[in-house]
Amino acid sequence: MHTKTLTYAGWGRVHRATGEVARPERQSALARMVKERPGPAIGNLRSYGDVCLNDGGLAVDMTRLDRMMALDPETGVLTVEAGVRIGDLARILAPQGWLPAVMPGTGFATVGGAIANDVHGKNHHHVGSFGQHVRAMTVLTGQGAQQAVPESDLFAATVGGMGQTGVIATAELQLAPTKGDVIMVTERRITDWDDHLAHLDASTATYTVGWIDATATGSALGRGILEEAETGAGLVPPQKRAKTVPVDAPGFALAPPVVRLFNAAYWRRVPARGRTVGKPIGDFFFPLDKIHDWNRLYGKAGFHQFQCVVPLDQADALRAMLEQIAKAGVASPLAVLKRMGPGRAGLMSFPMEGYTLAVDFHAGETTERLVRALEQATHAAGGRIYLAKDSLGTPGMVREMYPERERWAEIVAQHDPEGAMSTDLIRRLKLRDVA
Amino acid sequence: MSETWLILGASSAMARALARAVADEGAGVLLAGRDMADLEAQATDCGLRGAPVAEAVTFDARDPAGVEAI
Repeated sequence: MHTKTLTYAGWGRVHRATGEVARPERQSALARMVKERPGPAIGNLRSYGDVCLNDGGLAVDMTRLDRMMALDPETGVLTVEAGVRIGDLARILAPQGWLPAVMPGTGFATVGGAIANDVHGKNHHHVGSFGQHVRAMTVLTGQGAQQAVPESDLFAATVGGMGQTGVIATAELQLAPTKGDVIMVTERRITDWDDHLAHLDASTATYTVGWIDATATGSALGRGILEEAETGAGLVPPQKRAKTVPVDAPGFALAPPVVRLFNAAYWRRVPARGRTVGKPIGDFFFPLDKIHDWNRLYGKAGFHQFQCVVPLDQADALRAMLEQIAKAGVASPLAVLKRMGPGRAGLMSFPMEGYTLAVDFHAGETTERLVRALEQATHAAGGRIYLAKDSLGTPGMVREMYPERERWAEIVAQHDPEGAMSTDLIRRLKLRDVA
Repeated sequence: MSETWLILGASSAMARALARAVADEGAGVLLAGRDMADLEAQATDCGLRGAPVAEAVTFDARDPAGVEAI
């Protein structure tokens, strides 16, 4: 199959890879490709670090295999090719009464990527992770096309398995019913850390997420905005056309004083008494998709996102991490706090019951030191970091954060004994090593 | 839009993009080409996107009878 040599990057634009990329247009071509010359699948490159990069090797771009192949309108079971975008499914199917049961923070993520990283959404505390709503999938492995169903080893190693068992070609998803493509969002100001946790714990809404001002210190530490939402039907102004960041932003665009001012204004934009607003669903689920190439706001050097989850009884450890972040002064406005449920579908899935904190930082030495310290704090708290976001993790600690890693590596080795599906993150963290 | 478009060579990348754009606007599509498995998947996709008619049709430009049938 024809390939092109390209240089490509994860969403954070810190790591880059140069290698051959094939872009099959049909399932038959994909199957031939994987049989003759296997390589890891990539989608829209929305994972932040190097999990989607294969420097010096071959990658299979799945974005042209993006069709909906069947929908049962009675049960909401949808069969898709793995390159279809989550946002497209939401946009097309919500008016027909169905939504993907779990949606990550960007609609540009593909179904294949959502499975390979077992992504979570703003409803994780109720419905679990993406993989828990996959009924079956076709995985192209060294042994040919295989059906993976829940409870099987192949399923457990493929969901959250970062593409290491083979190429996910198609998937059968159980969708969630919705009354329409509108969402009612209640926003309220949160004054500090304890207030934030109390509201997250008490929330009974279907979708709950907290924006957190990661620059606030002292008595304002942990302040933010809690958003609780329910889908429904109604008439709201249509989603605005996306704008594009045309060039890499200069360094001062996200300098600490600018971020502090922005965050203070963003917090005050919600009235002190709170408010409820109706929006198109995309505005709530994928707010940053309205700005194409927003990663360029961090300039040429790129950015890191740190995301960890710690058990519920380690909330104080997470508070200490937030203090470290606020003190370092390198956080961007993009910071999120959520409560997670226990749901996860794969051996290498990120979720655990607890609190998850995600913060973006522009790349640089201060950030690297800070993220390494946060990784250590997460490890000490019995938590784990999210590999879909990671650029800086170290093998020893990460492997201990994922206690089922060894079993996963053994299953992966059965399906890809030559390591053809390996990517830069897998090699950096030595995830496939078996003792 | 209430018309139905006949798209020849419909499993090529450009034809596929055209079929989607047409379906998104609410028009029907007849997708003609040789790879029926691929065209049927494409027709289902167009139907879910809003095409009131979305069908796959066998068509080979080298076959006079097929051209006549179209």
